[in-house]
Parts: sequence; structure tokens; C-alpha cells
Amino acid sequence: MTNSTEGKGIDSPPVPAKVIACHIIELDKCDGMMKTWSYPSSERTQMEICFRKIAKIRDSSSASGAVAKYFKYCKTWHYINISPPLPSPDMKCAESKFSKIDRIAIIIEAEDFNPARYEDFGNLFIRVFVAEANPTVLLRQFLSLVVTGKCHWENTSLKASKYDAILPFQNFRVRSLITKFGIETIVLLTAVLRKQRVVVYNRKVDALIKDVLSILALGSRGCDTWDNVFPWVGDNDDELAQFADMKFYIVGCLNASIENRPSFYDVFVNIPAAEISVASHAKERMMMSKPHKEVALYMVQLAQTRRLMNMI
Amino acid sequence: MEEVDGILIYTLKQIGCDVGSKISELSSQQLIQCVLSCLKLIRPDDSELPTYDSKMPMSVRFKVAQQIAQLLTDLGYTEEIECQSLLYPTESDARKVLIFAVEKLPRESEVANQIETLQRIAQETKNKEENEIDTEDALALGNGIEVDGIRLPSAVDINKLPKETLKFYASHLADLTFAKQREKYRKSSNKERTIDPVPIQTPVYDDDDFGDPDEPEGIVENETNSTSAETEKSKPVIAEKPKLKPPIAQKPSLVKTQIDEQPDINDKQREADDIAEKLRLLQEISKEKALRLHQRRDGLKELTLKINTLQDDVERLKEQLLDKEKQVDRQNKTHQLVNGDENGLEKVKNAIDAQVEKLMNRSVQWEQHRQPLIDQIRSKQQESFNGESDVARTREKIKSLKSQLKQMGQEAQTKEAVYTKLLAEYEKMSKDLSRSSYTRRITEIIGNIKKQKKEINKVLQDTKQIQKDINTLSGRLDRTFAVADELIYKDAEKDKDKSVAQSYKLLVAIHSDFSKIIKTLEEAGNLRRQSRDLEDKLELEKGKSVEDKLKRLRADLGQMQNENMILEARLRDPTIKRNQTCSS
Repeated sequence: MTNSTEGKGIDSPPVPAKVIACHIIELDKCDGMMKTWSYPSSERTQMEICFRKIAKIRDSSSASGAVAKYFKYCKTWHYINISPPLPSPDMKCAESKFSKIDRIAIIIEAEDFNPARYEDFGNLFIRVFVAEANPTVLLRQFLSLVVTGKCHWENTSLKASKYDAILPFQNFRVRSLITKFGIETIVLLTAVLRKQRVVVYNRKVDALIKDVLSILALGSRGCDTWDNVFPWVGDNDDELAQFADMKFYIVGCLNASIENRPSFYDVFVNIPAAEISVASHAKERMMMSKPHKEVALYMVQLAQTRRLMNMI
Repeated sequence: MEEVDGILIYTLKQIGCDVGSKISELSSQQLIQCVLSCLKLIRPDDSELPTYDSKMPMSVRFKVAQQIAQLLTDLGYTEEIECQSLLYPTESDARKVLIFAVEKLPRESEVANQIETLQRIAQETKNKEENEIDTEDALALGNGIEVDGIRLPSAVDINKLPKETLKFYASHLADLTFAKQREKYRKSSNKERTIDPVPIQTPVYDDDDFGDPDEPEGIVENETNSTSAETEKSKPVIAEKPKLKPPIAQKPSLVKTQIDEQPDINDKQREADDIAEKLRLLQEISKEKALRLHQRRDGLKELTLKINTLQDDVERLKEQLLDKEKQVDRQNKTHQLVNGDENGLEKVKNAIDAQVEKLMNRSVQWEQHRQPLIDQIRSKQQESFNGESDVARTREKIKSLKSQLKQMGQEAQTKEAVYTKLLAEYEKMSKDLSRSSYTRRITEIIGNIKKQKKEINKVLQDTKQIQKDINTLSGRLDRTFAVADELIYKDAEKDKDKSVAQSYKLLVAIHSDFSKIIKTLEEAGNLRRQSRDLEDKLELEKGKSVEDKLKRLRADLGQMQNENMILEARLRDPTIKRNQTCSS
């Protein structure tokens, strides 16, 4: 299962775009942000979580360039697209409305997981909104995405069906995971196979999301586990509550302090420190035996040979 | 707590107490009645149990309550209990007391034992009857016989009695005698045995569930005193009851016959046995029936519950069905649309387009409201931000002022410290030297200075006088010289005498000589002054200790020269230098 080629380890989730909602958040020059438009609606806690995520992105990423990140909340994927800093207001008359705004963030809510698709659509939406400064034009684009699955604006046209559902899984790093953790990878494999609660910690969002999906790819193939994956979760209560009563999940967190709350996990993976710790209450379930070791050794061996092959 | 209350109320109702549905709603009278009836069951042999009635005078009521409290404590009630806790009960008190009383009630498991004892008692009383009859036989003749409290004339021949009397006896004496008999049994057993047949009845009652819960309390109380026969009587529900009567009814005739005929006693015994047996059987049957009834009731309850759940299920399923039907309808419609003619599809498309357009219109309308609102929010934010900045500025000012204040305070402090220090010094000083001594000295000095000034002035005046004198003298000298010169010159011209000419020459010579002398004298004075100035300067220079400095300079010079030599030597040979430095 682990020796499969990287990026093709998971069955594809449902293909059609199931877009639910779209929100515009304007980011001030002095670190404030405001949700200025939503279709069809938005919840307060949901928006608060979005604000926190955007603030995190703002803190961590460099000031220039567009950013696209995603997270899951309440069974829907939220794709955050943040525009690069807007040019000075006297360039275009339309932008006079953005005189106080530094950047625009557009959040697309969708049921399906397809980061590439929603990054492109999000960027298109941003371009539309920045050029027109009118949410009505954006709404037309959004409705055309919902109804026809297509968007056309100026010279670019996008088709939702064009994006292969497998595409998002091409960047798994199963092998790097194995080389990083060595024999201990077997703990991860067992945890996913036995449907334990896994919490992953990494410092950067992109790496964290990849690690979480890699761990999922390590041991699971079906869509049945797809509901239990939360690649990027803050450590505040309203986000932690969404999987509080689940028996199995893989959760990514940017805050290492969650290690001190063993009630949330059976296995804690600290990527930067390359440590896997099993919570004391789950030790019995995670007992390792000889076959485990054999599998682990085989896994490591395979990863090495593959690497050699790649080097040749 | 509700559960406990439920159990309590259930039990109290079972023992025939008139209680409501809640412990908290019990009145004091009800409570006391409940406790009393419990006590009667617990201690059926206690004939001294007080009775309580709300119509009784207050003092008696208090007394009774006190008695009950005492009884309860005697039974082992651990909590504090007084008459007031029964007369004016709190809910918790009442609950505690009732729990205690109910716990002390005889258990159902004792029922079987009690039935046994009842039988045994029946047996024993029968035996006793025999004995009694024996003794009565012995006593008989002459006095007549008293059977069961009914006095019969001694030598009554039943056959001789009128028919009506016999009939009356047969019909009415049965119950009477039977009741009396039972009472006697009870009394005798009370005296001789601790086991009492009475409590048997009530538990049987409880168990049967036949007892009428609405039965007046008086009956319940009576029951404890009544015979088992009466207990049977008060069970109107038992269908078998009528069967019981005939054997009892037969009894008086037996009794009557016993008096006259000894062999009838055996029959009577047998019949009594039969009765006891029947009684037992009946009791068992009734128990069984009660049990069955219980089971049936439980079954019924279960069934009703099931019916309810099933009904719920049915309703839910109906709802589901409705939903499904709606879905099917919708799907049918969509199917028709999709699979029907192309117009349908187009219709749908048009409808969607129309909806989209509608939405767009709405959006445009919303935008007209939204943008100003957002702008308003932004301006408000800006305002609040500005306000905040104003606040921040004033805060900054306040801060600087505060720091200034601090600084000033510090300064004041240091100044104060200096002041205190100076004050201390001043105080110290004023102790050593008095102000007056200073002033005295100052005045002395001033006096001296004044004196000196006077003297200086005097000297100055003297010198001025002398100068004036000198001037006048020199003037006079000039004038006299001029006069003498003129006279001598005239004489010399007149006489042309040589001596006069000579004297004139001498005069001139004297004059010039003297003027020379004066000049030299003046010069000498000047020189003397100059020398005095120089002397002063010399003194000053001496005070500066030039000689020491010179000496030092010389020594330094010597050292410098020495060093120069060493340096020169080092240039030539470094080893020499080292030695020299060592030596130096």
C-alpha cells in the first residue's frame, strides 16, 4: 500500500464542483479586515475562523504575491484566495473604492476537495472584483460557476470539469515521510489503518496540509476517510469542537501546544522534530509486534531503493 | 427524591392511609395518622397506642404527638424528634419520619411466617377451646354455661327451645359467637404469646392489592383489633367469600351441640380444621390471584407502551412516506421535463436564467444599499480610529506631564534634602558659635577699619599740607630769588662793582645748585619708591616659591638627560640599556 507511486494513493473524491458560497473579505492597510459581501449567507463563527486563518496567512507569508490556502470546517472546504497588494489608488478610477484597502480575500465554500480548481476560480474572482469593484459582476461569475460550471471573463475562461480530481493528490510526500520517520512510520500506518485519532503538527501551512494528506495516503484509499481529514485546524474551541465526538480523524495543527491536550489525540506527530508520540490511553491499542516491524523495515527499504532509482 | 416520595406514598396508601400525591402536601394530621397507622402495624401488640383526632383539644394533641415521638425514638429513630416536628412538620422532617416508619413496617417475606403462625394459633385456640369446654363442663351444672360471652342457662334442652329462638340463634348467633371467639383467641394469645395474628392480615391485604385504598381510616384501625373473620369480611372483592360463610355459620350450632353432646366436639374440631384449611387455601388462592393480577397489569402496561411506540413509528413512517411521495413527485416532474420534449429543458433553462437575472437585479439593488453602508462602517471605523489617536495623543501628553511631575518631585525632594541638610548644619553651627560674637567681631573689625581710615585721612591731609607748604615755600623762594636777583642785578648795573657782580654770580650759582639739589632729592624719592615697589614684587615672587619649582625643574632636566643617554646607549647596544635601566 505504501509502495504505490506517490500522489496516486487515494481514490478520487466526487468530481463535480459543489460550490456552496462565496465571501469577500477586505483587508485594511492597518491589519484590520471586514467581510463586505456574502452569497448566499455566512455564519458568525465561520467568519471568525476565516478571519483567524487570514490573519495567520498574513503573519506568515511574505507581503507580495497572491496566496491560496484551504481548510475544512463543518464538512465544507473553505478555499481562501488573497490578492497581491493592490496598486496605489490613482491608477484606475475603479480602484478609488479601494483607497483604504490593502488586499482582497475571496473565500469559496465547496463540498469537494480540489485546491487547484478553486485557486484558479478564486484568482479569477479576485481579478473580476478588483477590476470592477462591484460584487454584482462577481455574483454573475459565481452563479455561472454554480449553474454551468464555467466562468468567462475578458480573455480567460475556466471550466470546472477540466480539473482532474486526482490532480490535488499529486504532491504527496509519502516517501519523504518514510525517510523522515524511518521505522516509526509503522505507527502512523497502524494509526490510520486502525482508525485512531491522529494530530499532526508543523510550522507552515502548506507543509502541514501536505503532511496530513500524506499520512492519509499512507494508510487509506477510500473516500470513507475523507470526512475525517482536517488538514488545517486552529487550536480554538469552536474549531476543535467539530471533530470532538469523532472516533477517527487526521488533523493538522499549526500550534504545538495541542500536544498538551492528550484528550484530543491517540497519536501526535511532530513533523519538525520528527517525533511520533502515542497518548498513554492509546498505548494498548498501538502495541507493535513482529509483523509490524517486518512491514516497517520493508517500507524503509523500498523508500530507499526508490530514491536510488530516482537518483539514477 | 420524587422516587422516594412515590414509594412512600404507595406504601402509605397500601396500609390504608389517606394521603395525597406528594409528601410536601401532607398536613400535620395526615402525617400523624400515617405515622400512627405505621406504628400500629409495627407494634400491633401495643394497646397503649394513642389515637389522634384533629377535633381533640390542643393540649391532648400535643400530648399524643409527644407520645408518638417517644415511641419513634424508642423504635430507634436516630434523628431529633419532638411533638412539634409532627404537629408542624417540615417537608424533610416528614419525609425522614415516614421513611423510618415505612422501613420499620413488617416485611412481605414475613407474611408467609405470619400465615403459619396464624394457623398455629388457630390450632392452639382450638385445643384451648377443648380445655375450656372441659373446665366449663366441670363448672357447668347449676351455674349454666357461658360460651363466648353468651350465657346460656345450664340445663337448656335445645329441643325444648321454641323454634323461633332456635332459628334466631342459628341465623344471628353465628357471627356473634364467631367474632367473640376470635377476640378471645386474640386476647389469650396476646397474653401468652408475643406472636400476634393481627399483622398477618394487613400484609395479606397489602399483597393482595384488594384492600380498598379509599377505605376510611377507622376500618384500618379497627382491623388491627378485629379478628381474622372480620378481615375476611372487609374483603368484599373476594369472590370466594360466600363460600367461607357457611362453615362459620355452622359453628354456633356446633357450639350449641357441644354443650350437650360430647361427641359433637370432635366434629367441631374437624370442622375447625376444615375451616382453617379452607382459610389457608383461600388465602393462597387470593395471593395467587393478586400475583396474577399484578402480572396482568404489568403486561397491560407494557402493551400500552408498545402501542404508543408503534403509533409513533407509524406517524414517523407516514411523514417519511409523505416526504418520499413529494420526492417522487418532484423526480417525476424533472424526469418529464428532461425526457419530454426539448421545450421542457429549455423551460428549465429559461427558468434558471430568469432566476439568475432576478438574483442579479436583487444584487444590484442590494449593492445600492450595501456600498453606502460599508462606507459608513469605514468612516465610523476611521472616526473611532481618529478618536483613538486623539485619546492616544492626550494620553501621551498626560504621560509627559506625569514624567515632568515626577522630575519636579524629584527635584523638590533633592532640594528638600539639601534644605534639611543645611538646616542640620545650621543647627549644629548655631550651637558652637553665637551670632552675637560674630556681630561683635564684625563691629570690631569695622571699628578698626574706621580708625585706620581716619589715620589714613590724617596722613593724607598731612601730606597735602606738606605739599602745600612745599609749594608756598618754593613760590616764596622763587619770588625772593627773583627780587634778590633783580636787586643785585640793578646794583650791579648801578655800581658796576665787582663784588656785586660776584655776589650776583654767586647768587645765581646758589640758585642753580639748590635747584639741582631739589631735583636730585626728587629723583632720590622716586627711586626710593621704585625700589619699594620692586621689593614688594620680590616678596610676591618669593611667596610663589619659585626656588622649589626651579629645583624640581632641574631634577627633571637631569632625569631627561639621563633618559636621553639611555636611549642613545640602547641605539648602540640593547644589553647595556638593560643594565642601565636596572641600575637606574
